[in-house]
Amino acid sequence: MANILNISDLLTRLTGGNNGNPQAMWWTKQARVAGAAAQATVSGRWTDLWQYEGNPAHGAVPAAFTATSNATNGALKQASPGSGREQWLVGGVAAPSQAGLLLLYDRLMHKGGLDGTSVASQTVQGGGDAITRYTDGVGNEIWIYISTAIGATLRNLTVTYDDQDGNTGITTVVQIGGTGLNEAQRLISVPLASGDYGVRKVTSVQLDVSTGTAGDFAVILAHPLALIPCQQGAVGEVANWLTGDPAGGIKVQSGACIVPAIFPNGTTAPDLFLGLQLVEA
Amino acid sequence: MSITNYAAFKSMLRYPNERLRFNKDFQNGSTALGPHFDSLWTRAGSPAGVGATPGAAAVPSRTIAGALAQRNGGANPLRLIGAKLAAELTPTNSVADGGILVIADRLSHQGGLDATLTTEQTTNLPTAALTRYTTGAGVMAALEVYTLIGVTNTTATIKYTNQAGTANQVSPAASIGASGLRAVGTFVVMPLASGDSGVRSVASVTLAASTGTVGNFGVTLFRPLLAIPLQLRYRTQICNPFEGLGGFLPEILDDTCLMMFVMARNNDVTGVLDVGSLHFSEDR
Repeated sequence: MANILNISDLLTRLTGGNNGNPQAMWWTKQARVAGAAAQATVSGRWTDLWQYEGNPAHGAVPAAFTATSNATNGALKQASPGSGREQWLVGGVAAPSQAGLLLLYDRLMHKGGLDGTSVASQTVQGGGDAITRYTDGVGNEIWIYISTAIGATLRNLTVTYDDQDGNTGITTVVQIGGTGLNEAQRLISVPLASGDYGVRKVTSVQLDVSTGTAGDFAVILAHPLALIPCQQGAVGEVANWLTGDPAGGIKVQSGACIVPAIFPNGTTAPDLFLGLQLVEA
Repeated sequence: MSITNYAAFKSMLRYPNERLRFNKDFQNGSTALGPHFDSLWTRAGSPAGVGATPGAAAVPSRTIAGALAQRNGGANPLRLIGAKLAAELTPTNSVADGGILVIADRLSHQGGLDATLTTEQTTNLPTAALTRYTTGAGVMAALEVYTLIGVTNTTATIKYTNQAGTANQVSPAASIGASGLRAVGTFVVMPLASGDSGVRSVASVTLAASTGTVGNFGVTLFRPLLAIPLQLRYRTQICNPFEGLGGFLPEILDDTCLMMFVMARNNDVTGVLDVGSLHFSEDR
């Protein structure tokens, strides 16, 4: 960690000294979206908790391109680090009511309003639409988020992007639609083209055939931060990023839009209780 | 003041200013827990005793019945730096052990709300003004059941002032009533309106429908301080929040009314939370 000298310095910072500005952030989420029960999860398929109601409050359905940040509704809303300092995630405790793997990620941008019946090229990031963190693209991932259910037929979606080296017009294909890949709050990971390990920009998406229902889906550019295995529903799990895996803390970029998602081991949409400890150095 | 160094922290662990021993019953009579939050405020135990059902809006004191009555800090901030837990959660399904225990600052509470009324309820509201975390940032609101409410599931919303001082915010609805959400101790943490991240006060509560039984429930404002996973029953857990929970070292502000609530894995749980001690130390 930058400028944390030793464990004594860390203790001092976690208790407010040396401009540590510790933040213990607590998050409760209920399995309700837009005033109704959230969509049932599918075992082995990611569910994004962005729209799940809670405290801090939920996110809106993605629409126009947005370079998301800690000020975006739906984010954790942690304070950014002070000038010249970095922020680190050092520990957490999580208790989703459904067992599974909890992912914390930095949502870099989203663009919604995409049509599950259109076979035209649909623009994601236009000329001036740029992310503001992890701009070199390394480690960034593309996700498809279903805001409103799309059709019941599995289709190929071609995603066009700029890779971590700045090469443009790279294409890859992911399948969306159909059971497990069409429901609301579903999160679908997009594989990258051979040799790639990052994304700077997603320019467009295009279906080969209609899924059958327009619905509404979005493209998210995300940077994974941490995983918390939650082996039993409603049983707390601790993540120690000081000395655990990974050790040394997890760097949180200034303005990070921290969001949880779950890879569930069941079909019951989860409530979530989450605590995260941040410190500056 | 902050903790000076690791040697000072070890001294705090070895010679805490206070080791507060207590125990609490999970179950209240025949009321079972479930995979949702349950407040231990009205559960039997010592030395906290049974917390009284609140009536008029009030700021509960550090030493009120139901609170843990830890000492105040002296010249330096007081921190919760350790716990020794032996939670006996005894589910009917012997494999469904575990849960999570949350220790929180109970900032404001009231009671006397009617679980059959569908009009906007302002009895004993608004909640008493916060005396800690006064901006409301990070403060949560829960509906807490003090007398059994009805078997009909419905939803509730609250009208509140948010962390920015904006009044008349209306929360999304949360489920209340029916199996699992009607028993004494049911603790429904309310979601907030878009953009909000805290609560300064709650002005009213509205049910969408009657639960079928008047019961008694109220609004509790609280701020989580520490969350401790509860693992298998009969196993003592020794918890050092710094080393075991990833760096949580919550400051316990003066006059904090410490309360606990728990989420158990199974939905038919009896048992006792026998805490060896909670350890408090001032920064050194």
